[in-house]
Formats: sequence, structure tokens, C-alpha cells
Amino acid sequence: MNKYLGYIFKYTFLSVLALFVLVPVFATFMGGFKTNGGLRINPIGFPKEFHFDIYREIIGSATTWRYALNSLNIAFFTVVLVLLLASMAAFTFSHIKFAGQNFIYSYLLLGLMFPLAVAIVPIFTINNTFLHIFNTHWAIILPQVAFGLGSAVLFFRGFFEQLPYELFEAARVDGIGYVGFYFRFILPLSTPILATVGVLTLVSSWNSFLLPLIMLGTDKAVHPWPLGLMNYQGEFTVDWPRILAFISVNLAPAVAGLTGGAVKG
Amino acid sequence: MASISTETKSARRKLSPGRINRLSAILILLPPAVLLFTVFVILPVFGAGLVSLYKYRGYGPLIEFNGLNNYIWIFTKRTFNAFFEPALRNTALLLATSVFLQLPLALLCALMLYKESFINNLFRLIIFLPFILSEIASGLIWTFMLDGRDGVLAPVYQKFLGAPYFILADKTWGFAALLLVLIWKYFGYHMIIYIAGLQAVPKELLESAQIDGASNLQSILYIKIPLISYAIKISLFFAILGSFQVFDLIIGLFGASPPEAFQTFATFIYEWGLSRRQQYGIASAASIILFLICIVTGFAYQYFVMGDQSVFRRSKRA
Repeated sequence: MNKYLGYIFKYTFLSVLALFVLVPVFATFMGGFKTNGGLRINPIGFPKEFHFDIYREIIGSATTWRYALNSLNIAFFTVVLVLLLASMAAFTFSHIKFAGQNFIYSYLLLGLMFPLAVAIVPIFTINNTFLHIFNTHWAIILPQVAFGLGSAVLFFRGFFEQLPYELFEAARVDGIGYVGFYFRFILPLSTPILATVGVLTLVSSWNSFLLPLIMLGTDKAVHPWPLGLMNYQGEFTVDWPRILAFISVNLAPAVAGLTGGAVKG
Repeated sequence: MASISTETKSARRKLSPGRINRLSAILILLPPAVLLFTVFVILPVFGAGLVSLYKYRGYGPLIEFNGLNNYIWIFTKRTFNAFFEPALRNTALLLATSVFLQLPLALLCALMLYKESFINNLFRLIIFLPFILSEIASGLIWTFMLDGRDGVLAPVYQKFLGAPYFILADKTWGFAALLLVLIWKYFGYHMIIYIAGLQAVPKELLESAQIDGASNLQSILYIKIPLISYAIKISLFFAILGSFQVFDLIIGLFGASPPEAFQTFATFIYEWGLSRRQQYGIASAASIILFLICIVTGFAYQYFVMGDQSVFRRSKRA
């Protein structure tokens, strides 16, 4: 009897939490199918009749795709650079012994210790005055990579140290150098950790807002999604069905990715 | 490393092929990361330190030396109360909510959901969902939820208050709404960290405890929680540092230049440096204060709390 009571309590609690999480997302998605009046009468449930015109207009708009492509471009280079630079550095920490390596390792981990906001004002000056990359995607990619290195190096070093050391000794006997070993053995053997760090980096880059806000001007042609959301909200202030539809379109890839990933395990 | 220990000291000093190989590997593999990191993480901290000593409007050379006056300005009673105190208080509120509400909730969910089953996986997926949504989208979704006229909660306000209520414009309760959104967005992430830890707890241990007559609560308190202490420490570390950098959520929820009552450390730096006020000296001074708080907290945490499990631990092999 007690056990059943426990189950009832547990699943009631979890269901309330699940509603707390899902209702906002569901209401947003449904809101895009409603009219302004319909939304006010019924903000949460299924619409009386589905209006597809807002979604159709947003998905058909070139601006929407521009935002998506910009986000994709920034995320692609961020992920590739984080994976490459961090794993190269982590390999020197896990497989080569040299003076000062603990110092350099700790130095890179400093990036874990404080947020981007600390550095944002000088980064703006560096990009603007010294590198002349203001209003380009590189102004976002490079600082993002730099701040992502700390945790990536931490993950990679831990993983590389777990790889069987005999492999490295055998490769040395066969005359394969360190760089060759990194490219031909370490990278192919590290796909699980590369995938994990890659997905985490991808999500944070796809969602990043502070850097684009500061490093890009008012030219919407270079704006990524999160800036696009703010633009859109600025344009249509209280036209909620439009804003909700635009948010839903923005959420779609993330939600699809998550469910897809979960189904695959 | 084996190959080095067999070499003699004199051979090491000479440029043997092995040494050239090792040296060139280090010179190829390490500098890109170190260079990029130095330019975009370390140099900016020194830059902020320098600018914090000047009056600076963001363009031209640094001319007007201002000593420590930017710091003094931040902590002068009148200006402190008006500008910096709300940011500081809100950051502290974020930290407290994150540590005392969000993490226990995440741990509770993890304990309920760590076993593999279809229904548990479904709940996990749902609870994790907000973490992958962008902060801006999350903020906008909740502006709609909380809106007093068109939002999902509008009928609730109408029923209990008898009038539309705009919590995001209410200086007293607005930030409480943000704290709710914070939990909504991040507790699933911490839950996943705990679940990963719990799944690694050996089953035999729990079974033998059960045979010895341990209650559910006892096996949670004396076996599960001690055995996932690493996961708890790591998630606590990320929760603490994360609460110092809340920025996007504020902008998404309260708009591009939030009133003082809703500022955080990060929005304070933005507002005074790059946004409305253009007082780079003051923004930089705030950056340095935030930097010092983070570094001191971070190192103290790694040293005293993480101990042997610190991220700075030496490599086992090297």
C-alpha cells in the first residue's frame, strides 16, 4: 500500500514538473496558429481553427533563412576550431612531457574560471581597432573559441589519458612521430569525446547572444538567430502570434535535434 | 615517459631525432590554442585593468588618468545604492536560487529518474528540453507566459487580482519571475549530470544495503549521495560560475536596457560600457571586480572543495 502511495506521489510530482516545462513551449507553438483575438481568449490550448499563414510567411521569408545560415556558419567554425585546437593542446599535455606543461595547462583552464562578460569590453576594442573584424562572423567565432578552450581541453585530456598507452609505444617503435600519432590514432579513437564536446559547443554557439549583440552592427544580413529574435520582437512588439510563430520556427531545429538524439540513444 | 627515461642526460641536451620530433610536435600543436586564448581571454583582462584606471568614452587614446576613482565611484554610497547594489543583489539572488532551490530539485528528479525505463527516459527528455533552447527564446517565451493582458497567466491574474498584472514591470516581484525562468531553463542540465553519476553507482552496493535492512532514505543519504559527490561538486561549480554570467535571459525577459532593479553583474558591464552610458572606465572597473570575485571563488572552490578532484590536478602520466 505504502509503495503505491509512493508511486502516486512520485509521478504526480514529475507530471507537475513536466507541465511546468512543457506548457510554455506548447503555448508558444500553438500561439503561432492563432489570431490576436483568438490568443487572448485562449492563450494556452489548441486553437479553434489553425491559421497557417504566419508560419508559412516566416518559413518562406529569406530573412529567416539568412539568420539560420549565419548561425550555422558561426557554429560550424566555432565547433571545428574548438575541437581541433583544444584536442591538439590536450594531446601535448597527455602524451608529451615538457617543462612548464602544468603551468600552460592551468593557464588554459583559467578560461573556465570567469565569464565572457569580464572580457567583453576589451574584446570589442581588440576586434575593432586591432583586428578590424567588426561586423564579421570572425569577431564572434574567435572569442567564442577562446572561451570554449578551457573546458574542452579538460575533457580531452581526461579522455586521452584513458587511451591505452601501449598503442603510443607501439607507434613510436614503428617510427610514427607525435604529430602523426595525434592525427592517425588519437583523433580517430576519440570520436565519442569529440562528439560530446562538439554538441555542447554547437548548442552554446547556436544560442550565443552577447557576442553577436556587441560585435555586429545593425546590418541584419549578418545577424544570427538570437539577434534575429530580438529584431523581430522589436518590429512586432505586441503582435504575439507572429512573435510566437517566429520563436517556434527558431526552436524547431533544437527540439528536433534533441528528440532525434534521444531516439538514437 | 618511457622514451625519455632511457635517454641519458647528455643525449637529452643534444638535438636527437626524438627530441626534435617532440619539440616540433609541441610547437605545432600547442601554440594555436595558447595564442588565441591569450589574445581573447587573458589580454582583455589586462586591458580592462588598464582602462579601469582611466576616464574613457570608448574611442581615441587613453588620456584622462583617473586613478582608482572608477572603483571609488562604484562603491560611493549614493551611486552604489543607485547602480551597483541592485546588480550585486540580483547576482546574489541568482546564486542563492541556483544553489539552494535548483540543485536540490535537480537531485530529487535525478534520484527519481536515473533508472532506465521508457517513462523515465521520457521525463528526462522533457525536463532537459529547456536547456537546449536559447536564452533569448526562453526569455521571450516567458514574457508571453507572464504577460498581464495576452499571456497564459492573464486569466489567473484576472481571477485572483481582479485586474491585469504585469509582473515584469513590477520592481518588487519582477526578478522573482526571472528566478523562476532560471530554474525552468537549467535544472534539467544539472539533473543529467547527477543521473550520469547515479548510473555509475555499483548495483551490488545498493542490493547488499537493502539486504542489510537499509531504508530507501538511508541508501540515498549514505550510499548514493556520497558516491556521486564528484558530480555534485562539478555541477555546483558550474552553477556558481553560471550565476555570475546571467545576461541573455535578462535581455530576453526585460528587454534591451533593463531598469536598474533588474540588472545583474553582466548587464551592468554591458550597460555602462558598450550600451547606453559609454563610461568604459566604470564598466572596466566592474569587469575587474567580477574577475576577482570569480577567480577567488573558483580557486578557493577547486582547492578546498574539489581537493584531489580539482580540474588543476597534475596529469597522472606526465
